[in-house]
Amino acid sequence: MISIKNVSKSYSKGTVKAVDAVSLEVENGEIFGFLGPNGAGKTTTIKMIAGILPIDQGTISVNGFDIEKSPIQAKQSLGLVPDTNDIYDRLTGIEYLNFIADIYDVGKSERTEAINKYLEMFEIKSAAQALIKSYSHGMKQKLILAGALLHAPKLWILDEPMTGLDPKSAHLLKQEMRAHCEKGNTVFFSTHVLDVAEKICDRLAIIKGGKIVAIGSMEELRQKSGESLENIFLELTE
Amino acid sequence: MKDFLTLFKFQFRSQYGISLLKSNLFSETKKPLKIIGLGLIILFAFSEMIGLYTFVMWQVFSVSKTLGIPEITLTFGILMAGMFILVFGTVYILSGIFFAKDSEFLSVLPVKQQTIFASKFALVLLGEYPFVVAMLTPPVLIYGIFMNCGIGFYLLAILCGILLPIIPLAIAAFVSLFLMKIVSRLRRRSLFISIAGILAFVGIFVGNNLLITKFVAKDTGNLALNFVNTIKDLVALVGQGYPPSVWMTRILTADAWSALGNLGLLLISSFVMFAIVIFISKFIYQKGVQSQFETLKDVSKKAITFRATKPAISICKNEFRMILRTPIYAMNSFAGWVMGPLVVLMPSFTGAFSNPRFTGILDTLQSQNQALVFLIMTGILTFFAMVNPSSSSAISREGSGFWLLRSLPILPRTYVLGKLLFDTFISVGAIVLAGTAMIILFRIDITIGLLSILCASLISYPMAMSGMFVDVIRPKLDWTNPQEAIKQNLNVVFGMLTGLLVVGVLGVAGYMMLQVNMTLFMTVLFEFVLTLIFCIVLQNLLFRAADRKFS
Repeated sequence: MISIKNVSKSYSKGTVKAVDAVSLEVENGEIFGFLGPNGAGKTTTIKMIAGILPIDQGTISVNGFDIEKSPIQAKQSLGLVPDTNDIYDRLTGIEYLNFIADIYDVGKSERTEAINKYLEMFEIKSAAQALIKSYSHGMKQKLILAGALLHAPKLWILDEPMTGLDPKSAHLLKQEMRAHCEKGNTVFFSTHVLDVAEKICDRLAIIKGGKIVAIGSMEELRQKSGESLENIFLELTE
Repeated sequence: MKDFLTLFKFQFRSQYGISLLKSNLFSETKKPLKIIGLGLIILFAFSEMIGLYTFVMWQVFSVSKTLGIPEITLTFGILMAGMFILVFGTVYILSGIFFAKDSEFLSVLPVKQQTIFASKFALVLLGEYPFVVAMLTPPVLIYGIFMNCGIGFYLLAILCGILLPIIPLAIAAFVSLFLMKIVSRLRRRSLFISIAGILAFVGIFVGNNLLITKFVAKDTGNLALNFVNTIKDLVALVGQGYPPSVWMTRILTADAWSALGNLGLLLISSFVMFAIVIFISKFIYQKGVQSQFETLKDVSKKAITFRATKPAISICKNEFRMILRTPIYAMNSFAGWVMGPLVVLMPSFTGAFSNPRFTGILDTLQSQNQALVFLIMTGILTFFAMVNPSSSSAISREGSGFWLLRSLPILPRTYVLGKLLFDTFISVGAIVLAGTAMIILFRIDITIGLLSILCASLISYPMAMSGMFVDVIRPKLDWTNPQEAIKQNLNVVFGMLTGLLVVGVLGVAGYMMLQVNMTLFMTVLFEFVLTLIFCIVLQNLLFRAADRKFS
């Protein structure tokens, strides 16, 4: 689970407030969608949750660990797929996955099983021994997904995870997300594909100008602002 | 022309633009005192080098003036600048034109390929001018002031400075295009470029030494005169092969008509060379760039392996893979492995090892003062660790992919340790190779030799830490081609300076030990203990700095 309390983050010596006093709770067993227009503060928030960016104000706890006070335990319990696919281009896919497994201390039998599972699921096993620089955008995204999930983290943080994925892989990922949550785990993900968010999220938050402008289940949001998520989104972010 | 200017402006802004400069200098993490401090260190580092170069030029001028050939000072300066641009220009062209991250983006633009090439060439050319200014100003000022030259001389010197890098860089571009033409047909391209680069380095070094050796043999008994005679012969010989240096000297020193003729020659040659390269680029550039995109998939039927390793070792292994698979990194990191034995081999070019006077001095020194031999050899070997740029660029090389290390559940000190292990291995490799060459060629006592290798290897660890400390404090993560991370990264210069500081302290301690006539055993023991103290203190400082900066 994630607990974000009154978190703020500024850039350019405080002149640009990317995230402004954001508070939200994501419970175990939830798929939580994080929506917002470009530059609204989604990626900044995700980077703070994952411990990549320092927090100016407020606290974030991940699975009970404060990301600033206990970063190692917090990071160990999450898997991150960032919005960029800048990874070690000159490693092979399998070298990258073994590296990630080493860092997360995944034993030989567990890693063999997990790596095989995701390589087969995303159909990139035949490219596992090729350099990452030879991968397409979608293949890189699949590899990053495999790397983020192979240590079986309780919390998945996925920033635009469907970008570049073929329909079959996107479908499988959605199934995996649901299965993961049914085991009592959590998925926190950002997306611009509102249909996907509407169908698979248990709860959603919409961020605009660094502030949360709406939060709740689809039903709760509908009661406030209208029928489809698209209408709600457009109304709240215009 | 419009496309060329647009592309050039766009690339110039992304590399040297005012907005970028402002962001680099005045971003929120940078304090004014830090900027001033940084500026002073840069100024100190460069003024030291320019000072030494000016001193050499002054010596050349003083002696050549008495011989009645003061213009050789200018030829020497022009030749030096031209040669450096030729050698390093090939690396700059390769990384700036073929390996740049924006190559793919630029190749889809509706612009002729030779226009893209020309704009990139112009950008590399522009980057050479600060170097040209640094290399030409001392000889031009020395000659101009002491030969009472007028304003025309200085104006022509500026014009020569503008034209100077065009021909060597065009030659470098031609070599690069040719190399990429071959490479585009090969499977293991990165490996080929790395090996070709290292072989080219060995070739230039050996060729240069053989050339100099040819003239050094003419001993006049006067060291300064020998030096100028060597330069004179060298200039005459190389001048035949590289006439622009002679033309430029004549532009600056000959009478008006001769100067004008030589200026015409220089202008036409520069234009023709540039035009030829641009013309060739039309056929080769695109293929060379495309070969970078089409990395072949591994078709081996090997089974996928799942080996578990400790995090720091895993990071160290990754460093190996990435350095070996990135030619620019490999050429720079492993330069010490080649340079070490070659530098040790240098006296053999003058036949020193078969000269009884030289070997006699070595034997006497070893029998009379073993501690001194140990200290000198250790000092020489640590130099090869100092020139290793991998530690002072360790974080910078991560570039935009640094998010991954930051998101991992390990303390920053763990990945710093993994990188340190790799950097120390590189330094130790250079030390062992150079040390072995020294033991064999200088006939150094095996015990003293091995102790020196061991001590220098141990010293390489705090040196790597001091270099990495600089990179942890101010990593250069924004770059578009890998060369910017290692070759155009000031951290590498600062890393060498901090390494020099470590060696300096150990050297002063060694000198003091010699003053009190310590035995070999005590000297070795003292140096080891002192190095261990350095290791503990620096490791503590580095790990804390990394944890504070990246946690």
